[in-house]
This record gives sequence, structure tokens and C-alpha cells, in this order.
Amino acid sequence: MGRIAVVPVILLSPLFVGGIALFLGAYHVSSPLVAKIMLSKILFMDIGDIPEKSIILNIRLPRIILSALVGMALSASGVTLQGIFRNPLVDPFILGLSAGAAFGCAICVAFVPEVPIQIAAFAFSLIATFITYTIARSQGEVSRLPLVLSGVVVSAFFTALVSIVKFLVDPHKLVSIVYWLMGSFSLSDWHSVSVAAVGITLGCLPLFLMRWRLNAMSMGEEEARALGVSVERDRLIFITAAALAVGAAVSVSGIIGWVGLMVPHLVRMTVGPDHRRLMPLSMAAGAAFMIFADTLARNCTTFDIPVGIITAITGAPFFIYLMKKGARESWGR
Amino acid sequence: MIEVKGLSFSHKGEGNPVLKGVDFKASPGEVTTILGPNGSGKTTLFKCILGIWRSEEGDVLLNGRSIRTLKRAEIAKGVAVVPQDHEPPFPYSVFDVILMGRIAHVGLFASPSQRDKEVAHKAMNTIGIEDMAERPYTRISGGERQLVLIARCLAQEASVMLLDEPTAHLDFKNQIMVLTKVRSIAKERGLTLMMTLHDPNLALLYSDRVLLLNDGTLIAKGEPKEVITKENLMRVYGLEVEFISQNGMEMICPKV
Repeated sequence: MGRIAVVPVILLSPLFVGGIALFLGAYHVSSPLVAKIMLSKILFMDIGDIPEKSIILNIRLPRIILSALVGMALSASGVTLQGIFRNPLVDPFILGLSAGAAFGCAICVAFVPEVPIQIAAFAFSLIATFITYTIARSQGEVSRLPLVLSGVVVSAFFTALVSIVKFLVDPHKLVSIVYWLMGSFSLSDWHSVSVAAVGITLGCLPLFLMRWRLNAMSMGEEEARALGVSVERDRLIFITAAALAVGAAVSVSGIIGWVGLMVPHLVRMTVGPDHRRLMPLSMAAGAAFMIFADTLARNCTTFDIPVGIITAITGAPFFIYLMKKGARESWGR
Repeated sequence: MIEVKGLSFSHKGEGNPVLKGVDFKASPGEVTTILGPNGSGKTTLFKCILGIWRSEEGDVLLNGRSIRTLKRAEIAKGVAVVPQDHEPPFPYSVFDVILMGRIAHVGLFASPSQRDKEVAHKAMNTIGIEDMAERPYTRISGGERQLVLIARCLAQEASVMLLDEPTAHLDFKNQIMVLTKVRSIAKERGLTLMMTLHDPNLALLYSDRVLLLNDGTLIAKGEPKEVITKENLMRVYGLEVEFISQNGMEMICPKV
């Protein structure tokens, strides 16, 4: 199968995976009934108020759409961060964007419920990225390992801040913070879909439109400048947009790690590194992967396992594999 | 055309300037070579010409306009550079690398147009590497990479072309091949070509004008034969050399 055939398959994969996911769930709804409910919705037919209708349309469907949006946001940010930092080992989780956003959300939930949590999540994920970047940069051009290390430090720092919040908050709110931090779509509804859709669209749109510039940016700062890129301006736009998308994603689903690392790599292995193709395909593959992981999370046991656990179980070995591969092929220095 | 006027540069917080009052002109259709020992300021001079590093004193005029007043993309439309050999983190295809040369011509939220792709293809044809288009840039030889970067320069459609040690990492044959090619392109298109070299023999063979740089100061500038002399080489490199003439060709041989 050539590259040409792969492209439409990946682009359509979220629809395919999402379609299957509609038929699976803890509460058994027979397949013909699921199909009938969906058809009636699409064709504006009235089939009366049956409980299954609400399960499909108000529980499963928003959850699938939300996981697709979040998967798209995390993968698009992963592609962006790997490109601008010319570092195949980074993603929003590793660089601390997710932890920063989580802290923003936690203080909102705990102490200042008047502030919309998306705004706090965005602000703190932006702050976290700049701290990570500044630490890594203090030794000149940002190189591979210092960036990962400073990301780890910043992640740890914001995770500690979240712990303080957990310690101080009243126990009723504690449960929801803890559960949400593990990364889960169990609280999805149409409201969270619409809220996330705004932030994720606003964040992903510039990432999508500017994707070709990542090719030049990833050649290194000086070379990009010599080619005519205003590196500071572009980097600021990219980081801000990524933080916006990640902030919106974290605010509805908590910390879901590794997706932004794995998906861009798998897509890059399939279609090559050109960001013109890599970005849209990673967005689609990220959406499909997240729907898949979440369907697994809600179906493989009788509980609703937090999906963050599933992505971490697959992601950590993948990271080790990349480090070994990197050492062998000696990418960048 | 490049005019450098009284250019001085020092790194922030360091007293000793890297460039001191450098003054010269590089004209269209000519090959201007900068010769000088390691650390003499050749690469710094290029970075100042590209506006990557801003000089505190003096000015660089690109086709008559001070680069201080130009935006990044405007500078890139006027001057293109072949950087020293390096490895990108991702295995872009040769064509993708050449297409990057168009970024100064493409809007912030746009992707390269059909015309941009045509320009990139034309640049590949000029250099004669069109059959390499789909090969990964990370898997080709040093000489081939040099050619790809030169094609990228052409795709940038700038009137000034800088080559930073184009012969480093190249074998004997590839050095000659690359230099012959860029020289003929520069002559054909009336480009202002500037390059840094280490080998005075190559400078003698390929340049129209030579600048001799030592410790940030221009020791001599002018015709190759005026600049590359026994005395000047002694002064700059501290090496005794002998000039050997045969069949109208001149060779510089160090006395060892």
C-alpha cells in the first residue's frame, strides 16, 4: 500500500473508530437499535423517548466527540512542540504544559470558581512552557536533553503545587479534583464538548495554518532566521496556540499524557516528516487514537478506568523505545 | 550588492571585539572570497551581513539599503546563505529542504503555492539534482547536501549568496565540483557571491576579489594575486610559503 492510500485512511479513521465506539458501552444497547437511533437523529425522525436514545445521544456521542477533540489538541501540540524545539522526545505532557494547565484548573475549582477554568488552564500552561523554555535556554541553544529535563522539573513543580491545592481544599471538591487529574472522559456532556471545542479550535487553527513553517523552524534557530523566519514571533504564536489547545483539553479531561508524543511519531514513520502532511494526519490519528483508548477504558472492565492510565501504559515503553532509537541514529545533539 | 561600512562587532559582555572596522564592497557577477585563520571573524562577518547578529558600529547595505531597516523576510529575499554542514532532526526529503528556501516569499498563514514549487524544481534542475528530490536529506553525502543547500539558496531568489566554508567536509573532487558550479551560476545570473575558504589555492583559482581577515581586521583586499602574497600569508598564518608557477597556473606550497 503506497503513501497515497494511507492518507485518506488516516484522515477518515476518527469517523470509523468513532462509529464503532458508539456501539460499545457498559449499558448494552443492541446494534440495530444504535443504528436506528443515529439514523433517526440524522434524518430528524422521531422515534419517541426511549432510554437508549439518551444513552447514545447524550452520553456516548458527546464522550466520543470530546475524546476526539482532546486527542486532536494533544497531537497537534505534540507535533508543534517537537518541531519548534527540534526535539523528537517532547510533548505537552513532558514539557509541563499539562501540569501547568492542571494547576490552573485545580486552583479555579478549589478557590476561585468565578474564573472560567479554561482561562486559568491556558494561562498556567503558557507560564509552564515559558519556564521550561527559559531553564533549557540558559545554556545557549536549546538542546535535546536539557529541554526534557527542565520539562520534568517544571512538571514536578506544578504537580507539587497541585498537591498543595489538594491538601488545602475541602474534601468534597477533593474527590472531583483527584479523579479529574487522572485523566478521564467520564464526566463528558454536550456542555463540556462546546466549551472544549472553542478553545481547541482557536488553538489548533493557527497550528494547522502555520504548519509548513515548522519545517524551516526545525532546521534550527539561526538557519530559520537566515531563511527569513521571524523566529521569536513565530515561536510565540506556536507556543501560545499550543498552550490554548492543551489548556482547553486539560480543563475537560484532566492530564492525559503520552498521546502527543506517540501519535506524531507513528504518523511520521508512515508519511514522513513534512509538516504539511504530518499536522493534519496527526490531528486525525490523535482523535482516532483517543477514541480508541477511551473506548477501551470504558469497556475492558466493569469500571470506567481513567483513560490517562491506558495512554501511560502504552506511552512509557514507547518513550524508552524512542530514546534507544535516538541513541542509535543520533538525531540532533 | 553588499557594502560593509566600518563594521565592528563584539559579543555581549565581552570586551574584545570580533570585528574591527571592516570595510568592503562585494559586487554582482563577482566572487568575493574571505580568507583568514580560524577565529578571525569570517563566520561572524556573515552573521552580521545576514542581520542575525546586530553590529553596534558601522552598517551593512544590502542593495543600497541598510539591513537595520529591513525585516527578516526582506533580508532573506535579498541575501541567501549556505550554512556549514549540519543534520536536521527529521529526515526531510531533498525537495522539502529546497522548498524551505521559499518561506520568505510565503505568507504567515499560507502554504507554498504551485509557483513556489515550480521555483524549487527549477532550482533543482539548475544544480542538476532533480533525481534526488525524494531522497531523505539525512541519508545523502556531504557533497550532495552542499548541492541541495545551494539549490535552496537559488530557490530563495536572492541577489546575494553567502557560502560558509562550502568546501569543508568535501573530498577533493567535490570541492572542485561545488566551487565550479556556484561560480558559473553566479556569473550567469549576475549574483553577488561571497564565500569563506581555508585553502588559499582555491581562493586563487575561484575568486575575483579576496578579503584577508585576521583577528577581526581586514589586512588586505583586492585582486587575488595582490592579496594572496608570500608576505600576507606569513603575516596572517605565520607560515612560510613558496609560489610555484607552471603553465600559467600558480600554486601555493607551504614550506615544511
